[in-house]
Amino acid sequence: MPTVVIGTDEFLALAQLEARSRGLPDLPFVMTRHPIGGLHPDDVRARAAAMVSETLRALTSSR
Amino acid sequence: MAVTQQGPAAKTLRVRGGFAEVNALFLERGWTDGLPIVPPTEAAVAEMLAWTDHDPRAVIGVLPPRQGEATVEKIAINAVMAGCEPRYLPLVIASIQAIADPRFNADAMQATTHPCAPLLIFNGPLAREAGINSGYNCYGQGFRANATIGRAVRLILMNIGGGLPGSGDRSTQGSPAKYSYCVAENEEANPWEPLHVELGYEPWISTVTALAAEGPHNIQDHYSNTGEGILRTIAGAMGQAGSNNILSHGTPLLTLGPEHAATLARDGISKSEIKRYIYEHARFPARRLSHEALLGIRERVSDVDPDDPEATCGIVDRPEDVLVIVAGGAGKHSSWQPTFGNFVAPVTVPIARADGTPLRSLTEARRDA
Repeated sequence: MPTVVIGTDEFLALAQLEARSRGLPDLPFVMTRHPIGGLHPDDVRARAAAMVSETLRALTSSR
Repeated sequence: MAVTQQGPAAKTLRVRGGFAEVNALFLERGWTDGLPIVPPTEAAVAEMLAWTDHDPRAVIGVLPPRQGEATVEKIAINAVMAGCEPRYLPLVIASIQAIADPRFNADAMQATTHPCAPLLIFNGPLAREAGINSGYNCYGQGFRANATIGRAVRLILMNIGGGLPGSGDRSTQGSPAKYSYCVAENEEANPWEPLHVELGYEPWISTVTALAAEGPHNIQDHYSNTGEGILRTIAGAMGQAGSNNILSHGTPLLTLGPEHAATLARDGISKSEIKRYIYEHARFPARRLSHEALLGIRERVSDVDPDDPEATCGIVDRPEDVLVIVAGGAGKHSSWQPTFGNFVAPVTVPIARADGTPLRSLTEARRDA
């Protein structure tokens, strides 16, 4: 099933470690700048909008 | 639980020099908690391994985030490094069995930004035989078993699990409890049944209960003369803003000091009544939290209406989710241990031989016993 992990850049290294150790070295990640907690809802929407195309690409490209 | 899976043998490292050189190397490679370690020489590891009938290559558990296989041999190496007496090995092995149990959710504990640490609560005769402190300063310094069994578990979580600060361990601030968090219940001072008996074990069986918890938060009440008065103070302390139990409930722990426990028992209050009181009264007024915080709580627990000005935020789904033990010396102090919330659960494991038979004494586990 096409899968993508969405998170913040601060936790990319941890996510990569977890993915590798569980046998998923090619799991795609789409990351936004940390932190997102504390952002105004409008800023969160803008961040999400900026990630849409990369997320779609990760879900539809063959690996 | 019988263990059948085998893991790789540990590698031997040749180091030129002595204690200082070994420690410099281990510190540089990130294999310590920052304190000096006892060099895990082949002789020291062999002596440690003599105190279990497990195969040294047996995998006791797989530890995240690295998914490292915790073999008995690697557990023994870290136990030597931590300064454990060799006879503590079965206690460390049982602790790792509990932490590696999926219900415990070591993934969450290891990688979270929350400061939870693996609290090890020992019950039964082996806790007394090993000298795990359950009296004065039981959560503090001064006792080799408490200091080194918890430290061995920390080194195993780092060196086998990969829980290194900043990479596999993302705790925002951490906690002193992450060096070692190990206690025994003061069963003699417990007016009710001890934890393991409450959980269905016979008194002679020794157990470890592992729980991902914050360090102890003190609860002082020198003045209440009744059990009900003490419960009010306890509920007030446990119903605080900002804990993960307010956020998502779970299984918070109350560690009653013996004097508070005696007053409660004198007034005829049972352990289950203590739990019910905490369920009903350890609550924070919703109107004192931000609307966003209440929405976050509502995402995880259903009993809070963010638009009800009279709503209160509890810390458990149901009374029986509150854990209660008795520990400490004289004095009018108790403490509570907030947990990582409902992302984790306590796991209790009997301290046993490789075939799962509970041990009656630590010497019984020796290979030559």
